[in-house]
Amino acid sequence: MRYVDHDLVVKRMGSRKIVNFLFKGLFMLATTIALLALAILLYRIITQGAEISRGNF
Amino acid sequence: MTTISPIKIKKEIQPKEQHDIKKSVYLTKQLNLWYGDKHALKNIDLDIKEHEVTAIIGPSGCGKSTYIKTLNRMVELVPTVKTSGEILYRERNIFDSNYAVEELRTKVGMVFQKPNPFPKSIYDNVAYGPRIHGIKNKKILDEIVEKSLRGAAIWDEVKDRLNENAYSISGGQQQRICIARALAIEPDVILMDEPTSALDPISTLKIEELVQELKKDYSIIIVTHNMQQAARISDKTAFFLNGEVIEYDDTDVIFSNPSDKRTEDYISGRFG
Amino acid sequence: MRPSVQEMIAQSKGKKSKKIIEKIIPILLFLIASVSVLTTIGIVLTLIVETFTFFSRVSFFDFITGTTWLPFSNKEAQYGILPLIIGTLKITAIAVSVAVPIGIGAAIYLSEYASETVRRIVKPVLEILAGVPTIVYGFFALTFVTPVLQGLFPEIKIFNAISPGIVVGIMIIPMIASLSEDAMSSVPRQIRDGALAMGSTKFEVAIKVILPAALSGIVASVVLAVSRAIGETMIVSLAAGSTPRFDGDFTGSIQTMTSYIVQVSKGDAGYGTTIYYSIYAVGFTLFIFTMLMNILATYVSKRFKEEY
Ligand SMILES: Nc1ncnc2c1ncn2[C@@H]1O[C@H](COP(=O)(O)OP(=O)(O)O)[C@@H](O)[C@H]1O
Ligand SMILES: [Mg+2]
Repeated sequence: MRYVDHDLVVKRMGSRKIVNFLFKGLFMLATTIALLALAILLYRIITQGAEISRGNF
Repeated sequence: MTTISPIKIKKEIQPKEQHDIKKSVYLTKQLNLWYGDKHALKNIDLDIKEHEVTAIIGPSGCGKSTYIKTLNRMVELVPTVKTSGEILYRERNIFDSNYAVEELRTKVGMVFQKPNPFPKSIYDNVAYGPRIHGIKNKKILDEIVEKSLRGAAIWDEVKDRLNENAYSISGGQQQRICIARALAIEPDVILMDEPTSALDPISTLKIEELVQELKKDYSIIIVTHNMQQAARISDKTAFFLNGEVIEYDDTDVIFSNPSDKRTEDYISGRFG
Repeated sequence: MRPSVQEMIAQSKGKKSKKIIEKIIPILLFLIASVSVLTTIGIVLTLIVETFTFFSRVSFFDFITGTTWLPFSNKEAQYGILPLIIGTLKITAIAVSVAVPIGIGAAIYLSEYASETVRRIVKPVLEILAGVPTIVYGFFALTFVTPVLQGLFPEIKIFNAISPGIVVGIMIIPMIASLSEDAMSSVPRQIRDGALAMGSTKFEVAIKVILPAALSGIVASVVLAVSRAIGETMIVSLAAGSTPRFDGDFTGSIQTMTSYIVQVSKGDAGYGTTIYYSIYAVGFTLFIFTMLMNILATYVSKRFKEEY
């Protein structure tokens, strides 16, 4: 007797791939947010540092 | 050049062999594969029949693993890989853009060179496949696990320790757990890449016996660089050399009466 | 003629100078090691002694159960540490809810989805975040994040728990991301291959195989990051304010254990005053917290260690 219905497996394939795709996007978003935070921080350091060195903090 | 397909020769010599009526499970047509610039598989043509054990032999680096990993498209995990040609699995080209690899891989199981169970319990290892494919019912899972472990001839050894980590058992047992894990999704084909090369002789013998048993229900393609093993367990043998199929025929023909000089040299141990 | 190997061995054994060096070096190394151990013991002892002095003046029970922290009161000073603990927990909670999803998400992306090139570039770049001095983070919270938050939610005050919480979170992201990524990518490739060859999607491999296998490393990284957040001083001193409060408000000024210690150190609480001793008691409480976190990290990484 067979337990695994391969037709059903094929039917579920689509939704599993969508889940995979969505989470890939989320994980990528997390990485981007972290990089963005770094970018903003560095930008602030540079611009504010320039301001301070001009003496008008 | 000996690029005349050995299959054709064979048909001329023995036209009414019974396996000719067996259906093809994998039909490889003019397959080429490159790792970057390295041309690893060259114009492969192979017709692999169902419910047979097909052995792939050849010296190290000739492309055996590459070929078997192409059959379930695992080879595509190497980013530089490019292929041309066709592989028809049950008449459908596996390279078709709308053929999901995940779907192919539920039909085609794989057993690796080094046992690679998941760092989970024996039970969870075997139940992994059915679970990801949507089976949640505990009773059905129990039945699948038992059936698969029996199928892999390891039920009696592990039935009292299903909740132990799969790494707590011996390498040979781990390899049979991996076979059970593959059986659990009831595949059509099982690919084995030198499944016994990391095992002791007794475990090797057990797996060889198991392969004989499994071929009743599954088509098996096994890479081995142990020629005695190929001779013992396979129905067909393909001899690979430098990315080409030199000869493909019934195993007893390959080992007793090869038509290519290079096959003869290899099986008589003159190189490789 | 060249002497035989045996002769050379015998010769070198006889050399005096070598013998002396071999005796001196271990003693030297032992002394150096002792210095660091003794320093640690010294710190802990000071902490304990001064804390005891504090408790000779203030009831221990009042200290750990009191909900009012009023050390500078002219009438009757009150030393209930709970408001400071609450303050620390607010910062930690926000930091963790920022850093855990982002850190683990980034770790999964880098170890399971990203190409080798992307991983090799992004990981060290993220680690720059860990190297930024905390005072810079403090100013960042005060002069950038707080104004942005105020633009979005006007009820937020200039000193609040949210902004420094978020920034502490940003600071600990690389710790979680990097250590978790290490834990996940050290799961052998064959195990990943095994899962993929069964028809799993990459997401299923990551969640059902790799994550559980790397759990000890991931949890340990989170616990370490939490202990870092608990002990974070500069960011909260600059951006969280100095109002010890025992309530659930995040939008106004709060005080944490660390920022209280800074506040007292900056001021002129004379030696020998109760306020002076109170910073040791608070410091000791903080020490207990971070020590518990570190013990937890060690326990977790041992307890859930997967074999493969
Ligand atoms: N990931 C890879 N990148 C580049 N070349 C590879 C890779 N894997 C295998 N090859 C090359 O392809 C050829 C065939 O390898 P393989 O299929 O592993 O041989 P076999 O399994 O027969 O020993 C070898 O020359 C090997 O160097
Ligand atoms: Mg190989």
